[in-house]
Amino acid sequence: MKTLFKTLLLLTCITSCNISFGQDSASIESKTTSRRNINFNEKDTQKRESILKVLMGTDQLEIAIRGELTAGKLVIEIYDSNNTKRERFTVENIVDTKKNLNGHSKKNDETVLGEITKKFSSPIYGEWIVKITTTNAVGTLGIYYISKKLFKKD
Amino acid sequence: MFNITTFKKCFIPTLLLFIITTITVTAQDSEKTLILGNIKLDSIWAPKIYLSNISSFDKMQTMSKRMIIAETNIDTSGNFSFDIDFLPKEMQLYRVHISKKNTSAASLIIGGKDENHFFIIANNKSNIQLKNTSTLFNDFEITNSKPNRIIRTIDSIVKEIDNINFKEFGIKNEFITQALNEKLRQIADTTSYSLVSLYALNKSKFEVDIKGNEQFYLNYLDKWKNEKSSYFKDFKQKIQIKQKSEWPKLLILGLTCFALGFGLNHFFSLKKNKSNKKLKLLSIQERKIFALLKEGKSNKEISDECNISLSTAKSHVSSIYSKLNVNSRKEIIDINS
Repeated sequence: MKTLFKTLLLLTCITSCNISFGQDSASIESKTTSRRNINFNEKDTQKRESILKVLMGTDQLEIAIRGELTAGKLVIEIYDSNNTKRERFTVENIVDTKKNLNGHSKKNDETVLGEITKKFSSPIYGEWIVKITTTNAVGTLGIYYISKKLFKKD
Repeated sequence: MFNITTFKKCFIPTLLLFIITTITVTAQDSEKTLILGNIKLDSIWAPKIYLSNISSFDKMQTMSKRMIIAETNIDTSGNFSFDIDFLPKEMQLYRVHISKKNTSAASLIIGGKDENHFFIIANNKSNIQLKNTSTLFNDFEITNSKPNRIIRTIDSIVKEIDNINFKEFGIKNEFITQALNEKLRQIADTTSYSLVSLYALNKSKFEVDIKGNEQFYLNYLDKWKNEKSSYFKDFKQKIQIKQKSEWPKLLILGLTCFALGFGLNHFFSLKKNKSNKKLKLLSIQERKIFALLKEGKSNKEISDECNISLSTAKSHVSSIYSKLNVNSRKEIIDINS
């Protein structure tokens, strides 16, 4: 019984040491996420803006955008707070207007998908803008922001 | 029956035939215009691969069904092959891409671990072979097409820039990014493949660099002045936009020079008019003597030429001095008449 107890105590000690030394002692992460979803229902043609406020001292910013269209065109542009264009990305689904043998217009069931994931380190603080321009668009768009702040552990 | 001589007689022609056939098949394979390779896919990906035409560098981040020009199956071992003899004879930019199961063939995933595409340049004579040791297109090499090997190098530099943008901070980040963009410009400057060169330049964010490095771009345009492809037309247009923006400056400079010239001309003509007005005060005889004075004649020479006495000549000269408000012969010579 004594031997078993000693063995268990030793194992507990070793495990505790491993946990405390094995952990990342360099930083603790603080994460803020936000998302925006937009539906383009009926041949949507307009310009929209999605604004993200990047706080001073943000270490990493990740922007992920996913657009799915059954018709029309979608242009996404990412601008930093200095109004510099950092990314441009287009999804286009042109419906074939040619008629089939029965004289009916061809049906366009298939969607076009575009995804972009961009990561920025030490992003300039201020308002980052995602400009969304649609032309006769039918579909959906999702924008996800993740900003991270790293704290050094004392 | 079957002896060694008969065997030799049959074996040698058979062996020769086999060698010839092997050589022919190998030669045909290397002459075939195709893109072939291997890709490791997990279960989320559909076993099909697509080829899209990218008609402009601006469309590298655009996805549309219309862009897809070919598709082929990926077999269970991950092998695929496109016959591309239908491509135009001019080198063009293409995207090779895959899509996830139950999603559209027209799927473009940029960045992240699921990036689903890579770019190549090809024409109807290209033979491009991929050697892929990783999943998706994370780490592969092109074994037999020099221009596409350079494209891979360019892509790896761009990936490095992206990683640095994420890992490094502040000035260090800027410094390394600048150095890598310079490396891309070096490739653009030295490669003999025009489309590869333009690919490198487009990846180097040249729009930002033009202002401080104008001569490089002028030399570049001069080097590829005979290139007529749509890619180069687009690029030349972009450079022209920058050149056009110099026009207001040149116009202001031109107008300033014109105004300065006009002013100087006006000033000198005023001066000339003033002298002419004074000359009108002189009598006919005095004007004659004034002309002789301008020729540098002495009082004695003037009296001889005008058949007047020396004292009369002196008196005319003094009258001319006072009417023109001058004190010496030199001043008379300097007068514009």
